[in-house]
Amino acid sequence: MFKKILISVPMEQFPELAINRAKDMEQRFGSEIILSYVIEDNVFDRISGKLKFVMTEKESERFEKEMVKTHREKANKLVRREVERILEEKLDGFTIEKGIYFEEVIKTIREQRPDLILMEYNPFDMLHYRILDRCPIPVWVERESGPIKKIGLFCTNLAPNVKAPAIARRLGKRLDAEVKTYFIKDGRGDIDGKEPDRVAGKNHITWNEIVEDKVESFIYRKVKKEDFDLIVVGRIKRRKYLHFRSKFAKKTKCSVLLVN
Amino acid sequence: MMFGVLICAASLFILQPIPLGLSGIVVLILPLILGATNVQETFRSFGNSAVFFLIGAFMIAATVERTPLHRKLSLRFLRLAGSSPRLLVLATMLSGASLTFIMPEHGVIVLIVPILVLTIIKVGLLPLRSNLARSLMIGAAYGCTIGSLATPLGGARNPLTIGFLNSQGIEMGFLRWMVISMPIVVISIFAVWIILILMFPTEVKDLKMAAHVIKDETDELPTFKGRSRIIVLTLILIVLCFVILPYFINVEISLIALIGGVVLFIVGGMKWEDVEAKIPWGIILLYGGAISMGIHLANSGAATWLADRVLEHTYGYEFLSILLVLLLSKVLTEVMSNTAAVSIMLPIGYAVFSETGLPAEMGAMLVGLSGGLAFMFLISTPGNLISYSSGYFTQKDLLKAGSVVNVVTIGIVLLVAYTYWKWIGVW
Repeated sequence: MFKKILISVPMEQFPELAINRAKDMEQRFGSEIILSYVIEDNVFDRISGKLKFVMTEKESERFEKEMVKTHREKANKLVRREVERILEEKLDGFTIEKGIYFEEVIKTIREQRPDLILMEYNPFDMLHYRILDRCPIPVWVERESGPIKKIGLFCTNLAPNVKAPAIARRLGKRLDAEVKTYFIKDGRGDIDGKEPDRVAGKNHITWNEIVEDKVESFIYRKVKKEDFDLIVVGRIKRRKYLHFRSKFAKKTKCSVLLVN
Repeated sequence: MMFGVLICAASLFILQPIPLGLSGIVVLILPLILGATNVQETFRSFGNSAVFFLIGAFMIAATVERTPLHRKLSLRFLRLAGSSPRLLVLATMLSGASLTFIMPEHGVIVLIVPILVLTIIKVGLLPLRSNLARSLMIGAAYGCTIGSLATPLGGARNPLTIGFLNSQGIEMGFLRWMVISMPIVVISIFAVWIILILMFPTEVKDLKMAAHVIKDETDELPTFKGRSRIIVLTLILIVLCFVILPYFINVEISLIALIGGVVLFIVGGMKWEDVEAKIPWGIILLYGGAISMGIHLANSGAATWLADRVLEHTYGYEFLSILLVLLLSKVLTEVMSNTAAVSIMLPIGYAVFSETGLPAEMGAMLVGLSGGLAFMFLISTPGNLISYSSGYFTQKDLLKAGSVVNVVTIGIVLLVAYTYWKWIGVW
């Protein structure tokens, strides 16, 4: 389980919680850990937009080059060293990329082939969570690095329930955590009355509750009531539910694992 | 009609649907097309001395960037801090501020941020985890922003204000500007330093390592010999001319700036390629258009009309009028280019003060100075964004520090305006 974990580091965050979680997983599952530091293009795009008022394009480009150089040095000398200090061992891979954050992360995923991406919740800049829409592998958004004792699995007719139940079950077993399972029939999508039984049978689970509700409201209510450490949710791909992704991280107040 | 031009200009400056140089031309010719002014008036206002001062100032800045002067000055200030982390924050602010006395703030921050980041990396301060690094990087941006108020060379909005005042028959020279603005700069630097060290308490007790790094960096710098000594002496002479010369002979500071630029070229301080690379000519058009619009707004009576609408609500409350002008300038400057904000607010501030019976010079200076004090957002000033690009602080940190610094600096500007400015006879 989770043989290779990618931690991506944006410019505006040092994901200490994610690194601590990765350390925990490395110890439990023997995972390899790779780190990708992304020098974000959008920051420099904004700078050149602002500098248009006071500086020539050439000067602005020169500054960008100089700053990218300092970022590479910083990532190499400080970020990498600090991550390895927390992990108490050398990283299995380290890349520095420059570009649009989510595009660079996706590129690293294609090249390095990790099976999980670990991120840290950042309330101020939700931009990074674009990854949640496009990432081809499970995404773990870490909120607190304490032990995971209670996991909530939420399946719904809006999401493909192929991998989420199995991952939640296996995580529960490996982490020795209690797993509570819910199937939400959301009226905004087609409801197949037999789907809950089919999913449960396939994955050897029993639903704690099968409800008819809006996915978002039910999850927020349940998380608040049950005080989960982690919730596992199948990714909803339909366009009109895209807002779902950032709300998870923001409103659930616990770690979220989004599974394809 | 001119009010419509003002709205159009504000939209162009904020939304930037067309290149900024073109916006300058649109703002320049729009009053002409609408029949609000004539050809001679329009082009005369565009050829305002402030535009030529800016060209000279850009040439001087190009020379400073070519010499190790900026690096030397920055490192000398940083060395003064010794191994005290708190003093290092102050030294960073002072080094940025002092350089903005002779070149535009954005030029200074572009120069000092890489120097500072490399020093921080050598010291080993962790990005986004070190409070000291946070306060150093935010301090660098704020130091440059505050320092840029001190002389007309610090930012384009300063000559813009001078050009506008001169067009209204009010004499404003280099030294007078400094006398008026300097107390705001000095008090603000120390106040903001205290805010930063309280807001981001340093995790490092002693910075002996940093002191060594800075000393090594200083030792590595070349000494001023031969031509570079002549260039530095010429720069000092130009600054002295700005301050002293207008008191002996009738000479415009824009002429001193241009002569200075030419002399620096002759002594080898820069090449013409540097001038071409450093001067954003499109922006010179923008500044020309903005100055022209300000003058037309004032001369056509549109600014007075707007001021009357403002004063309807604050009639009899002189302090409220002042506060309103100050706040409006601050709000505008937080969301758009400082220069654009000042160009919009100058004629309004001037008219509000004239209508209230307060000295118009005070109104224009309040707009010109407060228009430079933008601290809260990344978009407020290039300095914030440039410093942020180092990756050592978050937007939240800037918002947190900037909101407090904004309130404090408004207080300082009002305090100085009500006490010191009265004492030196601004009103």
